[in-house]
Amino acid sequence: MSAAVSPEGILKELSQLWVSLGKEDDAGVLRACAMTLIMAADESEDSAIAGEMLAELIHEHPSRAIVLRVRSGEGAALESRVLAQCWMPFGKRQQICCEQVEITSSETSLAEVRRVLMALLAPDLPVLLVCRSLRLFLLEAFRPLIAAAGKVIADSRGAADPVMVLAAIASHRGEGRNVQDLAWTRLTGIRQEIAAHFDRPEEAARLSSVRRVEITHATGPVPAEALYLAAWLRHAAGPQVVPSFAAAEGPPVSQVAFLGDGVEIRIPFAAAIAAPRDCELLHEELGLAAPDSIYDRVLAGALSLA
Amino acid sequence: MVGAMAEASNPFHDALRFERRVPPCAIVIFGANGDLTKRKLIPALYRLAYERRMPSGYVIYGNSRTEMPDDVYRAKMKESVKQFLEDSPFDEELWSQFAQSLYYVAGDVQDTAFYSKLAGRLKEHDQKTAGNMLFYLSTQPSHYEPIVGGLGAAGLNQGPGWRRVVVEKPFGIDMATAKALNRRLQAVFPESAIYRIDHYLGKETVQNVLAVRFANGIFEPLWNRRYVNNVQITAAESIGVEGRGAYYQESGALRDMIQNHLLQVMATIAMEPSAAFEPNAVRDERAKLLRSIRILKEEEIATHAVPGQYGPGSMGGKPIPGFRQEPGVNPEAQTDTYVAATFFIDNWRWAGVPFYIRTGKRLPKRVTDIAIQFNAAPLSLFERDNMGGNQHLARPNLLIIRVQPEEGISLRFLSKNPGGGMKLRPVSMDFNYGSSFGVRTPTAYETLLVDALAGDATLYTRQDMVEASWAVVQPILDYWNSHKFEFPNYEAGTWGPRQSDEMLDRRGHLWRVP
Ligand SMILES: NC(=O)c1ccc[n+]([C@@H]2O[C@H](COP(=O)([O-])OP(=O)(O)OC[C@H]3O[C@@H](n4cnc5c(N)ncnc54)[C@H](OP(=O)(O)O)[C@@H]3O)[C@@H](O)[C@H]2O)c1
Repeated sequence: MSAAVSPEGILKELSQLWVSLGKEDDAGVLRACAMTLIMAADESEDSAIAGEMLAELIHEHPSRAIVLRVRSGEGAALESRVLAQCWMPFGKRQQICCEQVEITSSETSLAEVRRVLMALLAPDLPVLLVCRSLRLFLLEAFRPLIAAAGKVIADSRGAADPVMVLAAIASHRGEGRNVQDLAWTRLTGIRQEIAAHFDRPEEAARLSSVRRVEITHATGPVPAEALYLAAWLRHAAGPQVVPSFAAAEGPPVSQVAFLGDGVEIRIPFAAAIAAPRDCELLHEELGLAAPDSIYDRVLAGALSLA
Repeated sequence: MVGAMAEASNPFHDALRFERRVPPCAIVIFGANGDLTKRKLIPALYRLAYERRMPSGYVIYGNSRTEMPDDVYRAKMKESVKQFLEDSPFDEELWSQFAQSLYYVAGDVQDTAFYSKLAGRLKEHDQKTAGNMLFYLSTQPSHYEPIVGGLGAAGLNQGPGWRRVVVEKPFGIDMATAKALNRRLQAVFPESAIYRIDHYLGKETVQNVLAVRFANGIFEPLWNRRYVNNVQITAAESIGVEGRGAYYQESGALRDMIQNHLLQVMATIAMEPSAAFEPNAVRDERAKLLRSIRILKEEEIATHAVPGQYGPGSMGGKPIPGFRQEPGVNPEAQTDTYVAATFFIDNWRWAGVPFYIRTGKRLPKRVTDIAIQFNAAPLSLFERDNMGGNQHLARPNLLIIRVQPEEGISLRFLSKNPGGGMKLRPVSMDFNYGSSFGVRTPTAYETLLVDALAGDATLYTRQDMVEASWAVVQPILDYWNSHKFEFPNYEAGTWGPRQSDEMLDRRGHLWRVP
């Protein structure tokens, strides 16, 4: 670890890393990079989590990965180290490697972090910021980092006040930033099941009689996932459909019921659909470059419901 | 009905995030005991299941004459999948699930009674498959007509549910047989239900040609006669006929590679952008391009198309027999195991630009690529001697699209050598598919099968395209059939006959060494 962190120093360490990797392997290594992927987390989060996630993600989204670990409180010095994540694709003889930089800082040094990050971005490639901590995401001092990324992926899961988080996301999006919520991504499988149900013509015909949808969500305050789902169902099925919520032990959303005159359609969601792994969700988001216009409407709808 | 139409009218559909859904269906493979089924089709279907891209309800029926119970067929296919699965691990548990949907029905496709037996078996699964059926013709081409006729007579060509038929190459052995085959297919299935497979179009890099050309503003302005000097398409194989000599001697490289695959590749390189990325719009442009290829006049053929046949040679230090020494091959065979041809496209974009295409067996290595040679700088500031010696060999200004084995794109240009003086050297800027996306690229058969199941015919050839490419190839075939050549004319393990180099030399060009 180096105490004084300079971007030039880190870049030099990275180029030395490549030289040594090249020498280690007879076949040489393939250096792969399609984006800069910044993963910001609280220092209190188990440091292995971000590393394991990146190791899985970079197979499909090779990147210059920057893990930013932020401790609350004061402290001026940043710390950094560089490493490579390498893997051997099945059936191939040459390793593919991605570079990874780890930076540790305190909250009060975030302005300095931004300066370092700006110099470390892989040239001309997209910049994605995954914010694993809601505390950081809502921090005023973190805003400049959000502004520096082409796409920001936050996660309102488990927020004590989901509406406040949704409002913060809406405010960023209103300023033209592409901020996405993994709570919305978590619904893709669920939404797909609902859509598949109404692919059947006899079921689609019953939709016009539906007046109420009941969403079963995890106990506690209505989670962002349930608010999003309610807003999406209204957006798709029409404003005559009134949402209601019921709580039960389990994943953020475990069932949806479509109710109306002579209609009762209950769609329960299997665990694999209702609670996908974070890595799967990030994989979906990293692969999406186009703006999500449905999300814009759903976000506005969810805020108006709350 | 479940499928594209239902998706369009379903208010819950989200085109941005939802994976393309493949509707439930039955897949029937004719020729299921054959080489293509075991090497490509079943491994591709298994891999689609591995990636959860198969529909929620599906059954696969294999047919050929050999009697065997389902379990024996399953065990046979399991071995094939293990052996031929490309860049992918084998998962025992997934195989057990997959195998439960795999059945075998023995029968002779020439026997009309067989089709009612098949219909009965398929009916048992209607609940699961919604009556949708995809018939895959992977038999010898002489069986295509009886199969399609049998399906029609048994009413299997019509729903409930959709019915599609995938036809393997060759689509006829000349223009007349291609037209006759099309007529017979269309007597039973509408053209929209006929999927003529050309696995080259399913290759990821060939599809990527369209993305590179039409999604970037930097290439298209240069993609025309003002800037492009010539285009070279190479599809080289190092293997010989691998025990298929008897089949190959009737077909030859012109029919086997140029009429279908390489003319389609050429069309992809040269076509105009379509108004939308939608099956018929893309295919209309491909077809238009194929129709613009100048048909060679009889007196032009000798100078524009070179046939070759390999003689004995050695590769990797091992002696290799010549084509005429291969088992099952006539010692006097006039078969072309190599073809090099010069084509021109008669439209405003390409007038005067030669498209050189070559393909052959027993060439030094297995490689398929497309090279766009741009014009040299109009005025050279640098001494010839400083440009890496022979300007031909230096070959700057070259965009190479590598189709196999390593898929990718390279741009070659001149750069200054480090150090004093203005010595230039060609350098290469490489994009490697594998490392930029880090993921395994699907095999052509995976892509094409899932497209056919989803009803997307963009990468399949249409009748007019087949006939347009026969129109290009037929005069060459006729000319070669009426002439006797001094074969063999290249040694196994070399880059083809001398006449092929001479063909390019006449225009001041030189084949690349890929
Ligand atoms: N192999 C390739 O790599 C490749 C590549 C591109 C295109 N193709 C095309 O794909 C098609 C299939 O090629 P292939 O190499 O797999 O052929 P193949 O090995 O000859 O297989 C055809 C299978 O059809 C069965 N069969 C033959 N006569 C039959 C009949 N009367 N009724 C029912 N089944 C019959 C045979 O099994 P039984 O003896 O058990 O009946 C045989 O195993 C051909 O059109 C070929 O041109 C092949």
